[in-house]
Amino acid sequence: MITSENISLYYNNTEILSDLSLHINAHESLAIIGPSGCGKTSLLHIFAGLIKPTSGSIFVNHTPLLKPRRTTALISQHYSLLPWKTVFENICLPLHIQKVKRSAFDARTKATLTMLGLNHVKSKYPTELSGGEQQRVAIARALVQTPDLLLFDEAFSSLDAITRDRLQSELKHLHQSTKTTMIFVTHDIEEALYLGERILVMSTQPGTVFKTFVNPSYHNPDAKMSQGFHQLSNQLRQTLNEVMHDAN
Amino acid sequence: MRINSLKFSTLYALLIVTVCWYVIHLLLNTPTVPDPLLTFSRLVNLLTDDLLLHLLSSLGRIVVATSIALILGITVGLMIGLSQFFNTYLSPIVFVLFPLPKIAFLPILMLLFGLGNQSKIILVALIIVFQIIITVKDSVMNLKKEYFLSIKTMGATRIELFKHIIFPSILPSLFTALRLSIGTSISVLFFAENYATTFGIGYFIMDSWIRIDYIDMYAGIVAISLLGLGLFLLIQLIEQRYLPWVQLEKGTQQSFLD
Ligand SMILES: Nc1ncnc2c1ncn2[C@@H]1O[C@H](COP(=O)(O)OP(=O)(O)OP(=O)(O)O)[C@@H](O)[C@H]1O
Ligand SMILES: [Mg+2]
Repeated sequence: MITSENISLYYNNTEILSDLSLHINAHESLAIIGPSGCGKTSLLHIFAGLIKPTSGSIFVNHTPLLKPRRTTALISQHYSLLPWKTVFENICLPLHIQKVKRSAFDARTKATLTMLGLNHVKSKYPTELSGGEQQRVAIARALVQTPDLLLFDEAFSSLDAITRDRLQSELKHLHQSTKTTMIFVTHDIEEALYLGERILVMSTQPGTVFKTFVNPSYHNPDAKMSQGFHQLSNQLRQTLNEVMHDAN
Repeated sequence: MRINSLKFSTLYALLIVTVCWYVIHLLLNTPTVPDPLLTFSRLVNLLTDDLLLHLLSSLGRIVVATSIALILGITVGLMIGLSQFFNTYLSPIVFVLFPLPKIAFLPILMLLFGLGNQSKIILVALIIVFQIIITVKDSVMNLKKEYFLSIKTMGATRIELFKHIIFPSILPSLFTALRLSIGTSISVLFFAENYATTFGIGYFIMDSWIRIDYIDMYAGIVAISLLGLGLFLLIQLIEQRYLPWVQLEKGTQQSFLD
């Protein structure tokens, strides 16, 4: 799905990403974890086509990525919804932008609202919703355009534990049923282990691939209870410590 | 504030003000403070006469001046807010011009644009345009860049970014600026209408004053006040009707100190 070859990124002569090569398979679910400021958000924005790497190349479905593609959706931690639009209008937005026919419009929005259990808030404004509901709407907006690539930038980190667990498990089901390629940037080791079939640990700035892990417990229904989960969790923690240690 | 309670609170306030006025009238017992009821009935009579024409010509000037200021102010505000180039070369000029007492430029404007409507409209527009420029610029610059990320990822064009993000985002502070501008433009007009014109509510008031016709003068003052109040309420209603989310953002009144 995505291939990045030796990409690097500079902001005002500071190297943010360095010689980063990575291949993400179609239908894969990848978690990216790394120290703060290592360039995770920047990398995600490169995948979204929002910024171009300073050097190196990036391909999506074997074609060079030069600008945003309509079938990618990005969900960020804060302020992803427009406060001047109702929930319904926010969710419609991608369809507007993609010039979807009016007739198909309402049906798709309604189906998405129902799928995410948002019917009761559809005419409210984002400020009237809880943080969890807001992120749910942001996910609905991403899904309404039937994306083939979903990018999450710490999308759950400001939610309470219960809401977060629920959304995570819904997304995991969604991944398993739709096979949409998903990339989760997160600070949370548990989240990475729960949502990622593969987990990529990034180094400190300038960010690059430090190590990747295949997550054997991903397909285990009781993932969070399993032995493998705890083993890998410890391994990840250790790797993150190594990353920090290398930096000093 | 809901629309119904807006109606109610306006009526309530008008009543209190009138009662106070009446009490002062009784206490002072001088022709300088006439009976409010007498004034109101004179006002009604005058409206069928030429006062309406005075009011309408003032209103016309305000509407034209505000429209010019809005178009110009939004354009320049967006240019400064969205482009580094204009921010570098235009905003220092705006910054220097903003605090100047533009009303003092009336003589120059009258020399340049004549004594008629033009100079008065330009003066009012000149005074409120800076407020609008600065308001628009500030709200664009304070826009969360996160708003753009998801929408750009969907493949939105520049026009769509304007339509869905930039334009709606400037509306709340634009309405605030407009409300403030109403008061300013009426005051400025009152002043400017005393020069070289025989039409306008400002002229009517000062003319009555010279004629020592205090009831007429008061009727004029009430008329200009109602004009201001009416415009103010109109803006408030439009905002409530078309920008319900602004009310939510501002939140309801809370007793933080309890
Ligand atoms: N537009 C920009 N201009 C200049 N520097 C930037 C810009 N965006 C990001 N940076 C810098 O790039 C580095 C990486 O930022 P990025 O947001 O990608 O990190 P991150 O890994 O997502 O961090 P966090 O975990 O805190 O979200 C930071 O040092 C940041 O200061
Ligand atoms: Mg980040």
